Amino acid sequence: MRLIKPSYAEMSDEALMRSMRNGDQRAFDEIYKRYSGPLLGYFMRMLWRDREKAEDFVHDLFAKIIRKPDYFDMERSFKTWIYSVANNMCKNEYKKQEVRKGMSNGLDNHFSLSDTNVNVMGEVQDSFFREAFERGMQSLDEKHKEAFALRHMEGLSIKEISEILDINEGTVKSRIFYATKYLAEELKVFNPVINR
Amino acid sequence: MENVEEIIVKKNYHELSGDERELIGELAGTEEEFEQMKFLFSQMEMMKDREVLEPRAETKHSLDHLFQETHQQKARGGIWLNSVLVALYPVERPAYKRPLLQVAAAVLVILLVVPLFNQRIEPSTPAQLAKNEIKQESDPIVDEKKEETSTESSEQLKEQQAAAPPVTKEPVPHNGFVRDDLSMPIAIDKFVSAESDAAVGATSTFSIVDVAPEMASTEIKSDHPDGVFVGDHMLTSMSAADQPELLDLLTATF
Repeated sequence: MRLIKPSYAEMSDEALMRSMRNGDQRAFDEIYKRYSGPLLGYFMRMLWRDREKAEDFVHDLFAKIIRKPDYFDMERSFKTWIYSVANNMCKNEYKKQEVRKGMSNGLDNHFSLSDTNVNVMGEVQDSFFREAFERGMQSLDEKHKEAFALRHMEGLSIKEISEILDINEGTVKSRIFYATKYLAEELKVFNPVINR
Repeated sequence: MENVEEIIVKKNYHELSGDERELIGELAGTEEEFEQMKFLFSQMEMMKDREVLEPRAETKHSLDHLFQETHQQKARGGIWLNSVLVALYPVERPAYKRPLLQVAAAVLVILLVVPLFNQRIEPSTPAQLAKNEIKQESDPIVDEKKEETSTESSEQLKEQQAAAPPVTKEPVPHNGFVRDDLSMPIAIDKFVSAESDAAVGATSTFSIVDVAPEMASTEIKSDHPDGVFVGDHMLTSMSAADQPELLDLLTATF
């Protein structure tokens, strides 16, 4: 029988959420520590590497968790739930941008913003590959991009991705397959083995 | 899909078996495609390692503030209690592994078992005993007879009591051996009275007081070792002819 509470680092995400729901701030700190970085990266990849926007999205997502912890179904995996919320936020942002694009002068604001973002360029200045990769990612359509990012950037399993995107596993595999083939083709110029 | 990626990352093209080539065939059918995939996956791994992003501190401060506002009341006094509750009743574990339920079950068992050892066997009260009511089925003929005999016997008893003379008790000097009505030793007295009744056919009871009042009034003494002789010298030396009732008694006795 274990009467002493395990440390927060040992607790599962779901157990932390239960504690957090009861007002345990240290549980919230642990959840934030686990997911804030990966989610920031995810938002950056999904939102045209706009760090400001990604920071805002991270803040909004955790604010939702604080205000409405009951939205999380304790029977589900927290990881898949939080990524599905993040993914929905990105989709809403895409829709918003589509509306703006229709009202704009035709310039693609995202690429101009992200490409001229000094911070982002500072992060990737030593890697042309990275730049090309990001361009390739942005040129993918949303459904392929999100599946690929969740699989290869966030390291989620096919099953988890199918739960997050609410599609069957076959479709997930198909989308990842397509995105992988596309990016590999786009980036083959950087491969020293092939270009030898 | 996971297997395909693992094969591509870990192996070279010429190391692939036939089954593995078949498995990855759709994604990388040729060596060139295989190398493209391998390069992409390895570069993405490097990017992930390099790109360790952390949100700004302001974001966390803002969220902490929001958290405290939202859970203000709970945060004041509830953190310690929450920790205890989570430790004692972790919902993610099966019920039988939750410490609170385990302790409660142990206490319940103790409460149920300990009183059994301390229990005394007390005599059961009449209220606790089962009642055995035996109903006697009455026989009308027998009942009538019983009633008749009981009335007859009660009447006879009353008549006898009325006819019998009242027994007078004469004072006997106290000598440590008290007898209300004594003329001879107790055993003999009873025996003699029964025999005399049978022999003579008398209905009344024999009394030495009636027969020899002097004897009854005298103090009982016996100096003889075998105790045959009862009474004083004067009485024992009395002639049997002088006491015909006593003679009849002795005759009937022996």
